[in-house]
Amino acid sequence: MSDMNIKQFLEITNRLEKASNGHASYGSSDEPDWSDIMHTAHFCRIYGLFQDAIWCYDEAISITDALDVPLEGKQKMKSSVLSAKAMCLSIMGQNTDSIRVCEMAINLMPENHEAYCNKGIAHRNLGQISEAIDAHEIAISLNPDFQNSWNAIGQILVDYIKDYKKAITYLDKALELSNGEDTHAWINKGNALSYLGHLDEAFICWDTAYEIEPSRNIHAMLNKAMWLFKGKKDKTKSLALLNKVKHETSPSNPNYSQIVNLYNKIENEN
Amino acid sequence: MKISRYVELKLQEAIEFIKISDESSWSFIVRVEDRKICFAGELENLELEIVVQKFTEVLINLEFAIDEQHLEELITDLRQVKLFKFVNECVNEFIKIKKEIDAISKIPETNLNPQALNGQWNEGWALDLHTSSSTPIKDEEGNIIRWDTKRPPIAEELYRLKYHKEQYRVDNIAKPAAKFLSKYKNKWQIDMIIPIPPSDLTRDFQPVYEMAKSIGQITNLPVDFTTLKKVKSTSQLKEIDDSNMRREILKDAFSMDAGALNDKNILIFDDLYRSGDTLNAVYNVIMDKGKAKSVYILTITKTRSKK
Repeated sequence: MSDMNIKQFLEITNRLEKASNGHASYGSSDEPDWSDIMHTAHFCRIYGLFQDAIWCYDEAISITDALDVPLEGKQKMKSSVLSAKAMCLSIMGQNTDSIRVCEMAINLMPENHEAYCNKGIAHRNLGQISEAIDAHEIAISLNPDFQNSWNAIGQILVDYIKDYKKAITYLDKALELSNGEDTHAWINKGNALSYLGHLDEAFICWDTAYEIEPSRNIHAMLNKAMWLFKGKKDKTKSLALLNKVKHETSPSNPNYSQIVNLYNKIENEN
Repeated sequence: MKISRYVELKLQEAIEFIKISDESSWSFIVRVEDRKICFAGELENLELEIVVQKFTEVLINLEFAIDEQHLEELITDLRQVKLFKFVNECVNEFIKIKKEIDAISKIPETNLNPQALNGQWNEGWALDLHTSSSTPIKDEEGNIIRWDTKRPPIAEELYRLKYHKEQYRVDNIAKPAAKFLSKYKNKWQIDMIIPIPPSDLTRDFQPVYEMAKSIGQITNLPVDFTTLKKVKSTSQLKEIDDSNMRREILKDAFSMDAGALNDKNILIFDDLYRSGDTLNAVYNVIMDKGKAKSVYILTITKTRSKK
């Protein structure tokens, strides 16, 4: 790693330390190795420093050739890094670049199911639904236990194709593979059930997602509040739910304002 | 959801609860109509399978039926102890049970006169008699020119379906049959319905299969058309009055893979119960080859005589 790159890396770790309130920082004075860079990239992704994560991924790729591992191992490592980079690109809205990077990852390691999954996500973001499903189906064929792609197809079937019954079969698989812990699958299943008119069951799904990880699944409660108001015509319960969630949520949570907005909207509607 | 699975989940939840509480022994309560039954035990040397089996038997004897409220409570309990891996299964059961209750409640009451079918099976019922009366109509010279046959309503539907090919009658028969079956479903703990394979496989429309399919849809029971195979072609048995000849024709007429129904509770479905020879032949195959746990019978009608 050049001096300039070490300097850049340390600047990133400083930003990461701030973003994570000291929970994720590089606490070594040694020159960072491949693993340190990848860990930093991982935490940058978690704390939303996507540009920094991408820099780390690029750096990790550039030093992979110098590692003392067989060529096949190097290719697999590069493929995994590219796949992770593609995920950041698609979160940043650079979906065409994300697809290109996924294809590079797949060229290096054709059995990289995560790269296919990320390719599927980028295609979906671009509205290329059949390409997205194809990519996720390949991911599942490469690794039938890969819950992310089961959930992703389920979500596409709910949001775009409107085949709610078929969606549920995919989401059930994601839930089975995750031992019922995949909150995305719970939320998507709740959405599918609500469109099918099974509101009570949809509420159970959203409640479960919220119970598993409240701060990350506030939109499950927003969905429930919305359907309590629109579907069950129960404004009182809807507002009570939003009030409860508001009290349980930190104002620094990015979704906090949505709770307040929905509360005001429902309160002002008849 | 089968009662044994319900008990197993209640037990899993009770065991999990020990971990987050100060309790040293597990316990759970099951509401059976207006009674509350408490099951309890020690964690030490717990043999889950045996305990589940024992409690299931108790609940079946109490004619326990899982309703929406039971499932809702179970889901809440499972979530409380963070056993999320079982919650989705219960959500799916919740949907099924609501759909079934809704479908059954919409079926109007039909005037049925159920007939017990006695035999080697665990229990069997026909929904009604095949005919209520059959009076000869004679010409002036006293020759019988035709029979004036009166049938109970469901038998009339069956007659119209089978002999007038009025296919729309399937629902008129399947709905009351499903409503009748729903009263026994929990007690019998049926795993699947097996319809009797038809004598004439060349017909496009198979009334018994169609009725079974429809009953299965309403009651949420799977219908198995493939496990029981007809391996010997039999002429249509209604034309054969001799009991010995019928039994001979039916000998080795049915087969299935060894152990194909291992430990399952089977409902055999047929349109008509006459001598019971067909059902006995199928019963023997299901128990001896298929190794089923128990066999129940449902037919639409039963003839007044065994011919």
